[in-house]
Amino acid sequence: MDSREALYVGVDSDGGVLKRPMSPHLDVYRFRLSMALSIANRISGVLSAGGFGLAVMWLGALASGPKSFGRARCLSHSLAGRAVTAGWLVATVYHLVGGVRHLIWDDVHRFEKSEINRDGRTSLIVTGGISAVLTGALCVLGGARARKARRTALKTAK
Amino acid sequence: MRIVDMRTPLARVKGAGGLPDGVEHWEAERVSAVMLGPLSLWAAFSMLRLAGRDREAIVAWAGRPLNAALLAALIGLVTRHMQLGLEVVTTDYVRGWKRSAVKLAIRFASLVLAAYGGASIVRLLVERSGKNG
Repeated sequence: MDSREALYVGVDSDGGVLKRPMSPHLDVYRFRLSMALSIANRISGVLSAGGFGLAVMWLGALASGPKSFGRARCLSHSLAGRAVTAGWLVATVYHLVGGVRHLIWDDVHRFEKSEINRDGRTSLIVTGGISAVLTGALCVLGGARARKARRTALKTAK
Repeated sequence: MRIVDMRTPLARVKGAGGLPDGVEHWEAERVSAVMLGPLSLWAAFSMLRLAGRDREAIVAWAGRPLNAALLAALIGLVTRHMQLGLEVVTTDYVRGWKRSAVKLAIRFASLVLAAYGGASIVRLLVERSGKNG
C-alpha cells in the first residue's frame, strides 16, 4: 500500500468512484532542462497574455486623449513600468521561440534526446539575444527621442 | 434505475472529457500561432519606431489604414490565441464547476479586450481623419 494512492481517487462519467492509474511523478525524475522549458512555455504564455492586456489598455489610453495618454506614459516610463515591459517582452519572445519548437515537434521532427537537449539550450540563447537587443534598442531609442522632445520644448518655451 | 443508464456508453462519455472539441481547439491554437509570427515581427518594429515619440506622432501612425488593419488583426489573433491557450491551462488545472466558470470568464475577458482594442482603433482613425479633413 502506497500513501500516494490517496491522490489517485477519481470519478467516472457516471459519478462512481474509481482508482486512477498511478503515473510516474515529477519527483522520481532527475531535473532536466527540458522539463523546466516545457512549463516555462505555459507560464510565459500566461504572462504574455497579461502583458498584452496592459498593452491594449495603453492603446485605449492613447485613443482616449492627451490627458489619459500622459497618465499612461507616466506609468510606462516609470521604473516599475519599464520592468513590467521588459518582463513582458522576455516572456513573449520565449513563448514565440517555444512556439516555433512546438510547431517543429508537431511535424514530428527534433524528437531525439540529443536534439531536444541541444535545441533547449539554443532556445534560451536565442531568447536572451532577441530580448536583450529589443529591450536595449527600446531603451536607447525611446530615451534619445524623449530627450530631443524635451530640448525642442525648452527652446520653444524660450 | 436511473435514466442515465439507458444511454449507450458512447453517449455517456461524449462531451465528458476535458476538451470535447479537442482537435478543432488544437488546430485553431496552431493556426493563430502561425499567423502571429509575422505580425509579432511587425509589432516589434512598430514599437521601436514609436518608442519615445509624442502622442501626435503615434496617432498619425495609428491613423494609417495599413497600420490600423494590422493592429486590428494583431489584437484579434492575440485575444483568440490567448483564449485558446488559457482554456487548455484551465482544463489541466481546474476541476468541477469551477472549470466552466473560469472558462466562461476567460471567454468574456478575451471578448471585451478585443472589443476595447477595436473601439480604440476606430477612435484613433476618427481622430486622424478629423485632422486631415
